[in-house]
Amino acid sequence: MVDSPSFWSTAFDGLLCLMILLLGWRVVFTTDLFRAALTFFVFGLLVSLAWVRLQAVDLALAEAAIGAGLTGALFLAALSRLRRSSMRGNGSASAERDSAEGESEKC
Amino acid sequence: MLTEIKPKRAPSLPESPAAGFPFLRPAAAVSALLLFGVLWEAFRVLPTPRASLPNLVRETLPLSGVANPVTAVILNFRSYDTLIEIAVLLLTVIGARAATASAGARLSRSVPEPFLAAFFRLLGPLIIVIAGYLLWIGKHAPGGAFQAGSLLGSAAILGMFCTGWAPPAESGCQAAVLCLGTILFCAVGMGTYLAEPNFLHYPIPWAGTLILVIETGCTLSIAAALFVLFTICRRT
Amino acid sequence: MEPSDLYGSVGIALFALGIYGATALGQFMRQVLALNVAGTGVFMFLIAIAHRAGTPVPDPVPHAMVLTGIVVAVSATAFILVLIGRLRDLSGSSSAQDDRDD
Repeated sequence: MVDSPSFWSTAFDGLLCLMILLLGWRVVFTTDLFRAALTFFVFGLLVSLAWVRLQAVDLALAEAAIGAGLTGALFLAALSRLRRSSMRGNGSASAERDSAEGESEKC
Repeated sequence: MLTEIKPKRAPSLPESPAAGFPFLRPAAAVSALLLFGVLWEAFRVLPTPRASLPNLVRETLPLSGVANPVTAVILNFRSYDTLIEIAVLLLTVIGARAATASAGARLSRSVPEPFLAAFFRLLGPLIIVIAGYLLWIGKHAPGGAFQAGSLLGSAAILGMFCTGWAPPAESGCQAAVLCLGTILFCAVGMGTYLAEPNFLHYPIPWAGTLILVIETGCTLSIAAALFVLFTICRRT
Repeated sequence: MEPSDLYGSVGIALFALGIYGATALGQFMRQVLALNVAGTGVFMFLIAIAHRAGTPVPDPVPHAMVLTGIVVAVSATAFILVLIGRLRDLSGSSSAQDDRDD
């Protein structure tokens, strides 16, 4: 059976959980997508530390590589692709839609 | 070529059921708080577990061929779930490739700095060795196929950025490595089905070797799948 | 307080936070981020349950389930990001309603 946790380990756990909650809040409530993706990356790294604290070292390795690293990289890649497609489609789709909205407002 | 696919007028997206619902935010917030309250209360009154499964795992661990309980559960006791998971990863690659098949865009080649190429020349082999170590050590200590495969996939992505190497959209070699994990897993399963009357029921003296063979295939397959998914997400 | 109780509560809180984000936000990318946060919360809850099993080594069956879950979550995220990119290519918008400043 595990013995009761010491003060320092409880303090570390409390601090880690506080930071995880704070970063999770920031991921959901940030308006800038780039900043949200980066915050998610750091969130994943802290969750990897939480796995170590819960004695799940295999999960810590997998979470740091896949959960934090690869998911963050996927978000950044998708964001860059969205930005490029919006920059390229600036002349056609969004202009059409803006003009369509303008027409519907006039009517 | 993209303007041919794009319609003249942007089609209206299917309206989400809550489009225009003015009280969406407060209602969702209240529901989330209620959900949190209910789940927290359920967690608080959870009875102390009677711990039957961990004892079972600990008792049958010597028969499983590995010394790490998590690896034993993943690749021996619940190996069917892992087979399905590798197949799901392959299906995701197929689906992602099918969703971008008509886009016809190529990966943009970035001109790398020579410092990055030299850096990767030092770091790349090191990552490969560490991935091999993680794969091997999975039998005794935390490690295994998923960790090694994800490390290799990340090394491939890093190499793509550092050396400006852009992979072709499809190739036979790529398809072979992607399918290797699933095929190897199924081959071992069929082999055990023919030898003993049970699918994926390893004979006990062969269990460790079979697990290592399956793990190697899965490592390569996971690395290739993650790398291909990343390149598909990044394609312009 | 046992560490497993603390992490279990944090997992539940992350799950509720992610569910709120997935329902209330308009842009698809932010919904995917919120769903990933919710998934991480579920994993944390499962591992906290595994840790409080009381045996000297934590219960390895939830560890295996969460390991599978992490891989499936990343592959599902990659697939939905590809779909969002295609939706943006074909229709020029990547949010449920047409609100840019959500």
